[in-house]
Amino acid sequence: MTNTNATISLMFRQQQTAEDILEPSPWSKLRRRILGNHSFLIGAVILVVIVAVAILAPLLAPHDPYDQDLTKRLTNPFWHEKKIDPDHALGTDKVGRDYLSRLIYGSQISLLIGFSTMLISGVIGTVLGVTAGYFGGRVDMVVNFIINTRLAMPVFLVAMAAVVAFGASLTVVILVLGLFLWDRFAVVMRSITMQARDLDYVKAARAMGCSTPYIIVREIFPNVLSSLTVVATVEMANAILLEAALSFLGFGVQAPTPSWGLMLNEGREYMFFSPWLLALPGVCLFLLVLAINLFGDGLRDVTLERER
Amino acid sequence: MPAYTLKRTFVAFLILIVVSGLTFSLSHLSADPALTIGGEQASEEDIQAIRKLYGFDRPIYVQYFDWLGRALAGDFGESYHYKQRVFDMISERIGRTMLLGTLAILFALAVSIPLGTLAAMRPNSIIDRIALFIAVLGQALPTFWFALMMIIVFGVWWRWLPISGHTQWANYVMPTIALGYYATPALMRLTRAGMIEVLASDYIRTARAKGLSPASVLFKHALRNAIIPVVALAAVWFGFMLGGSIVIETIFNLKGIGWLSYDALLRSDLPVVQAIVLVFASFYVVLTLLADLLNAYLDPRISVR
Amino acid sequence: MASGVILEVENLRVDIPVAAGMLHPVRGIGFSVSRGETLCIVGESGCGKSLTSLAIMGLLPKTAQRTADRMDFLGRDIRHLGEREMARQRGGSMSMIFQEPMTSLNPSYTIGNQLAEVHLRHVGQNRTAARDRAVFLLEKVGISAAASRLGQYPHQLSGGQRQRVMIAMALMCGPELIIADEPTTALDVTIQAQILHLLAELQREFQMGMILITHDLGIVARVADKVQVMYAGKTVEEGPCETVFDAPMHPYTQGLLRCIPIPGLTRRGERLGSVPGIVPNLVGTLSGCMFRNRCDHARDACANMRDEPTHMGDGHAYTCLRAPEEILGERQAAGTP
Repeated sequence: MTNTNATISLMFRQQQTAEDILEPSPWSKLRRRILGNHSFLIGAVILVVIVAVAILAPLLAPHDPYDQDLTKRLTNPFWHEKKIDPDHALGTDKVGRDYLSRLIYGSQISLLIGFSTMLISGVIGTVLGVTAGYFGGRVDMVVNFIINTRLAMPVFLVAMAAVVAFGASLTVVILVLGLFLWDRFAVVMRSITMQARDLDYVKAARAMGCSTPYIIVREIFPNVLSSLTVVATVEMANAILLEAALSFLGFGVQAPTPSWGLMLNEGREYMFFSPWLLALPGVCLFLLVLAINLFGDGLRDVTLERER
Repeated sequence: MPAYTLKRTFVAFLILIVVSGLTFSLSHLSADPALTIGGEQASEEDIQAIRKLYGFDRPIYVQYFDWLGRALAGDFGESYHYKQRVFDMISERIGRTMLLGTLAILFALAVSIPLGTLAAMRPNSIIDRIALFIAVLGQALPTFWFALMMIIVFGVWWRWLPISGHTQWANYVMPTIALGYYATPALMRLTRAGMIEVLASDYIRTARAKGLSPASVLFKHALRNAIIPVVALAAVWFGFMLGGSIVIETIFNLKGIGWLSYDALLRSDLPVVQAIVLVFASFYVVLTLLADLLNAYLDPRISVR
Repeated sequence: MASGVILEVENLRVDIPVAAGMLHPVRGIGFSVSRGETLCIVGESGCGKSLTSLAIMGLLPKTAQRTADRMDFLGRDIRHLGEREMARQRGGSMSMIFQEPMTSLNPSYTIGNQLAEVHLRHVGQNRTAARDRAVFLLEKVGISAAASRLGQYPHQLSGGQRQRVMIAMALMCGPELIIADEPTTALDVTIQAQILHLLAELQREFQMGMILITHDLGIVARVADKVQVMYAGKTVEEGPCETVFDAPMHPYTQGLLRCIPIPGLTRRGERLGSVPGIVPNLVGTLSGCMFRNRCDHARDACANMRDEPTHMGDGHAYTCLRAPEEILGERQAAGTP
């Protein structure tokens, strides 16, 4: 920064301190920051809606998502003029299952995959990253090698191969993605832990003879928590997209499970005549991933400002 | 510098060995390749004979080193299904994947660098907001779904572009966009952040104090410094993209090695899958190495360290 | 235009809109610089001295607004020149040296490239001439093996060497006016003296007008012809260097002068003076003397004081309510210069 800019920002800061004194409480400040942060709000609202839909699926869905009715195959959604069925607002798929109900239940699959993958990869990545960052030296070198090896593996191809090897099922997809998507956690946690390790109070704790696990859990972990949450949202979105792509190619969740990716796969052969079979699950996927990304971006902005 | 390069190369090589070892054991431990080769009608004796013939009765590590030794010599074995040399199958198709990947990364750079630069020059302006909007939308759009929507709109409704194949240039337009746009948000954000930082730097102030033209300040002094990390990231993304080409090639029936790997997986054609994993991994490793070297060339400070 | 006057500025103001209102970092500054003359602008950080220099160069941040009653450079009104015209002046007839030699050179280009660039822009597209000029000036600023340095990158040079390169760069097109904004702050003390000496020497040799911005009165005493003391965006005292140092009139100038150790007079271990308090906030409507909250002589009337400088003759003037007799009488009573 130039001296001039520094001087100007110094002047700004003086002004802000004056405001700080007038500010009643840090909580109202945080609240205002959250309300002022549109992306966080929009993301959070969409996310809450989708989670609510997933939880309340049995109540919301007009039909059983597995109920086939071959007499009502491929009826159109309500905006079409011909071949609509008032019983199926968003139409039916190739075996006459209610599309709306399948879309509603699909949110369960996506959220389940996203969340469990995030938990598994989060644990692996955080343990690796914090270990490397805290101990440094040879430990760091080994972890670094593991991270690089993981990055060199073509995730999608290896995930497909693993699904072929162990059989396609929800559990396999979750495990495979969970075992693969920890790299970002590890990289971020490693660098943050390295910075945190050099903080004065962490040094002080070490000088006082606190045990390493104690220091990591009590002194370092609170530091990395906000970054951890942001990375978690990124990985969750990533996992949801990957599951959809795997299921779309037939290497993921198997029929008749209502997964959005699988629905895209099943709708593909009708793309010329019933493009909405492809459009709808894609829009759902897009909205969910968008919401998670906005939420994560907003979270980063909110926490960054607080730390400043 | 030479010592550093040598060490990096050695580590890269080690990574490849570990990656291929993992893939090899993954595929061989879980499924019995003899069953795949024999097919459904094979009797128990046939299977035993196949095991002997291919050496599947040996311990897994012996099989692995046997495979690795020949792979290093360029012999990836023979496809179980097509009974063709895997090396030939790959070399016949790899050009298409490379072409697609190159076009996609160029597309991503051609969009993200100008947009990121414009956004950085006027933070919080309309252009900045549009760029941010594109970035946020782009990150959430599932690649394969975007590809399908393009096929419906440009291929089926408007009939502008062919929807499958690899014989003409027009075949590459939609796959390029579908694969390339996904890298755009990350590259654009990095360009923007880098440009904002560089434009506020002291040497840009010096350049302006020298009375240089705005174009010279922007292109000669700012962009070159801001673009260094973008180049590095683009190289890494290029590696990811080759991996991502599996879905895109499958959707557009563009028969590169991404499509080949999909086809091989459907048929449990292990030698082909292993070879392609190794090819993708090598690309990634070589590209990250090259990105570092390119950085060193563009930023003279790095080569000294 | 008086003969030899290069730059004449009257009532220069800079306003920057910020969240809390309007920031007034420079509030009516005026001065003139003649050929071969060194004007020192002195003040604490935040007093607006750097922004003053950027305002002259037309390098203010985009949001900042500049107004002035007069800004004549080489007899030409530069207040309303467009960016293109100003760019033609910058680096050509007026150039600037900044305080951060470590970061002020572009890390990606060689010294030769960055030096020649100025010449190619302002003098003409003759690479040999530009190169020769660069070598000549590098030798002039005391860089050994100048020709072979042209191919070096900034990171291969020390801080002092880089500042020498910056000086050579400022001189590439033979400017009439050179503005140096704290050119030695970031350097080691021994190097500071060398660079300062070099600047003064070059200024004399090329007969340039120089504006030296600093917070270090020790530097001022050595090189200045004229001194201008700034506080909170205003001139509080100005005059010929010797007069101001011998008979400082404004309490702020007196405070600053107490802060410099004088060889022979300041005893070892003796506490140097300091000016207590901080620079006031310059946002919103401001009135009266801004120094009053730090001043020992403050009185109620200071809050409503108008900016009417008291002239002492010989160009020496100060802006304070206290009458000259009061200040001089007090000084005699104290027995200190």
